[in-house]
Amino acid sequence: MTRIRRKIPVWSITLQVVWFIIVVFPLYWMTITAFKERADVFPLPTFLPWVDFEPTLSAFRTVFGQYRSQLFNALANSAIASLVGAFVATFAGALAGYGLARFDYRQFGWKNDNMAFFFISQRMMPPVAVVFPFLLMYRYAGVLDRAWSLGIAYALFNLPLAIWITRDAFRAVPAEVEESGLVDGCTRLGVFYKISLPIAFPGLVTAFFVSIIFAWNEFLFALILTFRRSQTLPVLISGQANELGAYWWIMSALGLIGIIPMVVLGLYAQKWLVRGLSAGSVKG
Amino acid sequence: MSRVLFDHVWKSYASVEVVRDLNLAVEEGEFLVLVGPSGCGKSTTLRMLAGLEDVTRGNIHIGDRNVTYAEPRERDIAMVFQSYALYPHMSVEENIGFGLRNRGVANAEIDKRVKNVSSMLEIGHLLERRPRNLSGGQRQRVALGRAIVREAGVFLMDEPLSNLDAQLRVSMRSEIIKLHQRIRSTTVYVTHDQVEALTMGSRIAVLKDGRLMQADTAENLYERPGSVFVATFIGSPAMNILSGTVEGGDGGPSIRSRQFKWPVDPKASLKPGTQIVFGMRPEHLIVGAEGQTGNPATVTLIESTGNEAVVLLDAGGDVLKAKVPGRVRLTVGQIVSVSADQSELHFFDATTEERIRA
Ligand SMILES: Nc1ncnc2c1ncn2[C@@H]1O[C@H](COP(=O)(O)OP(=O)(O)O)[C@@H](O)[C@H]1O
Ligand SMILES: [Mg+2]
Repeated sequence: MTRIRRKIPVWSITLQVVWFIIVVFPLYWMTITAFKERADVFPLPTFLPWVDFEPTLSAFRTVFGQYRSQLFNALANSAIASLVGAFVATFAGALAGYGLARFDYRQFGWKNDNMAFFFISQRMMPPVAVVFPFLLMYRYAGVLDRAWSLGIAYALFNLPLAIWITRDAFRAVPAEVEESGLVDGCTRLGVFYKISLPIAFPGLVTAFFVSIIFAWNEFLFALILTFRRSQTLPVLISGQANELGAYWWIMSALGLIGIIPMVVLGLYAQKWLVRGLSAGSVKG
Repeated sequence: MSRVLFDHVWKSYASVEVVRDLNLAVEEGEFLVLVGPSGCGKSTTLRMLAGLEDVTRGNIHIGDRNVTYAEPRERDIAMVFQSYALYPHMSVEENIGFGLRNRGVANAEIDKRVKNVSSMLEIGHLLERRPRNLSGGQRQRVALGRAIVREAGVFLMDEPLSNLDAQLRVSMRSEIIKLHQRIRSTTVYVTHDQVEALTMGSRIAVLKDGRLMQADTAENLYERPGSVFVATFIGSPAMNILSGTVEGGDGGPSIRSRQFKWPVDPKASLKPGTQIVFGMRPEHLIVGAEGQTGNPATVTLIESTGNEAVVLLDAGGDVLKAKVPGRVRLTVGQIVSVSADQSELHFFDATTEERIRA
């Protein structure tokens, strides 16, 4: 491919700058707020560190001091719920996605595309509508206020997207490559593990990544299905705004801490998220 | 090395019959080419032999085993796919060694065999590369190597050269033949290209609409085609086919087609009065000057390739193609007389289109 050099028009640059500000400003605001004290937040907003206000670590001192056990508890709960949610969704999603990509089904008049649409339609349901039924089910089953059970709920929510993404990934595996594996001595399952899975791996990483981000940031289910013991980070953060007022600097510090694992994960996953691994297996 | 036998094999998808009552044996060490127009069931036949497609009816034997219901991995076959189907996530070395590794061959042995095969195919310097970093011809060789290294009983190839450019295709053709002469494995090779079939196959099976029309050597297919279909499918340009009525007479028997008379060899012992289809290859038509013995025809097109030319003739409404050797001294619009070498006429039944055996 040849790259075409051309001038970017002014309106496009303007739009990009506006978009950049919209994306970056909240992050900036959260970051500087985490280094403020009450006096820097009220009564008037301050914008520039070392100019408007003197940055301080006092919010972090509070978070790692007074909030220490709560913070680590919340981090652990978030981690468990997210990992369970992402692992289960990716695993089950990959199985379903492989089936939808590779075999032709016809069940009760439904074909593959009907099934795929049914799965994705699950995701269109507003979470508020199902959170109370979940509460009842969980209470009846005695699994309320557990990080892993919250993770199962997340898995259910992640599954449609995971199926969709992995289905696309498996579709990119040419049927003849799998057949070649069968001739080369593999069983069907062997072909799945040795050939299809490695080729579709970037898709699975994507599904996992999307799932874990959703679960890590999820608020509504975490709020309703957990109490003290299994409180997750988003719930802990929102708890800092209560009838006594909002502790913005604490919330910001917690928010910053909460971003770090996702950034690290993103950097690690990046090399897998690069697509096109299947290039070169068949002809051109 | 094993013998392959198709025993009354049928294949249908829903109500569509794709392979119909196939009976065919491939002898040990033979290079059999399956040829036929696109969609005639060649790939389906090969895939049934590989175990990638269920057999609807009938049996397939490899060696002395009935493999009709065996899994592909249990059939001791190696296959080269049209798309090459290399494993994109493995290096060339891993691609070639994959089948051996699956069968639990010792690492040292795998290394040795991979080295052997890759030097035979001149891809030794590519072993570390991934398929995506190879050219089409190199991928083709890797796919071949992956199949050869297995030393399987039967070697299957489905149009392995169709993705290569013309020049490479011709050179790979002879390489595959040389390779076969070295390793002598039973091979079933699929192509839709009759030239490829004729040049490569020690025997050629011609398929049409899922039916085996004829399986024979290139010479026999060319000299004694069993049906009008085979007669026109094999050879380029295609055999001229005309229809007419057999006539007796003082000057010996002949066939009248439209206003033309084609004398035939009395030894063919055709019954006067019968409707008949007959054919002659372009290379067996004799084009002479106007007024010589033969039927008058008009030259309508000349396709010259330098050392020979194909001349299109309008013979009273029938289009005939004649192959003329050497420099052509004809011009478009010229009237010529055309006759046929009597010993090179082919006769077919007018209704069944099957060869009439003399
Ligand atoms: N999975 C399938 N379902 C229905 N028809 C099929 C299927 N696969 C092949 N066919 C049909 O079977 C016929 C033979 O196909 P194929 O063996 O691929 O032909 P060839 O390799 O000779 O070109 C074609 O008419 C094709 O449309
Ligand atoms: Mg085919």
